[in-house]
Amino acid sequence: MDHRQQVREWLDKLRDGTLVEGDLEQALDRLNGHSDEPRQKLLYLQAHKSGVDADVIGMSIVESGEINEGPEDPDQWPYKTVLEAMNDGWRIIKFPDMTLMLQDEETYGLGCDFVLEKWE
Amino acid sequence: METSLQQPEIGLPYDCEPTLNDEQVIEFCRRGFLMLEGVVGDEINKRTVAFCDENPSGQPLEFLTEDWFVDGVLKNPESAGAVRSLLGRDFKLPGNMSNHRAECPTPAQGWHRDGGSIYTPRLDYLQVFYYPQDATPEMGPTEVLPGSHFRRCKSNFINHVRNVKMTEKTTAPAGTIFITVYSIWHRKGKSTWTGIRNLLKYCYWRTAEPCRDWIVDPDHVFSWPETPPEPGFEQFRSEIPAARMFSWLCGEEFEHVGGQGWPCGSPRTPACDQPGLPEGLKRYT
Repeated sequence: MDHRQQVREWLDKLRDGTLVEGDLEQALDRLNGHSDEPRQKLLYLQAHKSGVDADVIGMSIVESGEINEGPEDPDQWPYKTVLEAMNDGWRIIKFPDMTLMLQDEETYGLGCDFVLEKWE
Repeated sequence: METSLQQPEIGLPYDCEPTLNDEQVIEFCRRGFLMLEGVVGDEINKRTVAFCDENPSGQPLEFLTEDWFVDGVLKNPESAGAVRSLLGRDFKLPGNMSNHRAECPTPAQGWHRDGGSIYTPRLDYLQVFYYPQDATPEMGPTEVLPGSHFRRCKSNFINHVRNVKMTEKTTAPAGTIFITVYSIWHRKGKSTWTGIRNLLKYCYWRTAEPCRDWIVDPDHVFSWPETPPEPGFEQFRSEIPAARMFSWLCGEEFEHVGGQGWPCGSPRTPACDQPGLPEGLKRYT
């Protein structure tokens, strides 16, 4: 459960007069049982072009301490563009390196690299 | 260190009839690989698997002294014919042999180009892969990225690249040989099957100056090619280095003139030679 939602529930119960010691102890038990600290998730997206609306041509997600390549079928990928990922709460932390695009005759790497993060 | 094996044919020149035509050579230059499915016979495939089990080293040089393997695989008519088309006459037979012998299941490997890769329009060698057993999707066959032999990279800087839209799996029956440009991006796919997978890898080398001596169609029109968009490349930026490589293979001078010059694509084919087309590839003049 999200921390803010938890506190809202407690406030509601306090206003109702139904908040009891057990409610707070339950939350404490959960905290003691595992880390409730948010962890960084990373979303690597390689796009065909440098705009956030460009088609995604490569992806992987780092979450819960593991690297996940996502569905094998690109039609099943969670995001078709970087913009879709942003609209789903992902925050861009690295934009494509434009200097790689300037050498006219050569193509470097795989498309335009975006790295996005979430904290959950 | 083992002493070298004495066998007259290791690394020596070999010639045979070419089997690829203009279109196939151009396609190879563009995609960086070609598949020859099931060209090696079953008996040789089974014998190869057994030999791999008896010689489980990652560098089974012993193959190079086995006549049945040299004749059945290294000099296989379809495969050697493709090699002959791309490397010219009197190409050198492999002097080294690798086996990417994997105990499956394994996770997917990272994308990489092999060490020693360079970017050049020359085609002086080919890296060839041979599956002596079926390569099913569950076994994690090698995945390749078409056109990536022209994508500049260093393997340690593309480690974050994982699931790629344009990936092609080399899923294929036993006896399949696939021929690649050395710098192509590739990786072993994720396997879920249990067992030992063998993948033999070896290189052929050019000795002759390049010239257009494969199966030539004098009426072939090179001008105004079809150029479907290639994700991750600016328009025509995968065709231009392919055109350089093909021109070099033909022994032709070529300098990309830009604009609508060759190999800029066109949905329809005007009945004239495209500006910038090498002299020897012209059709109308």
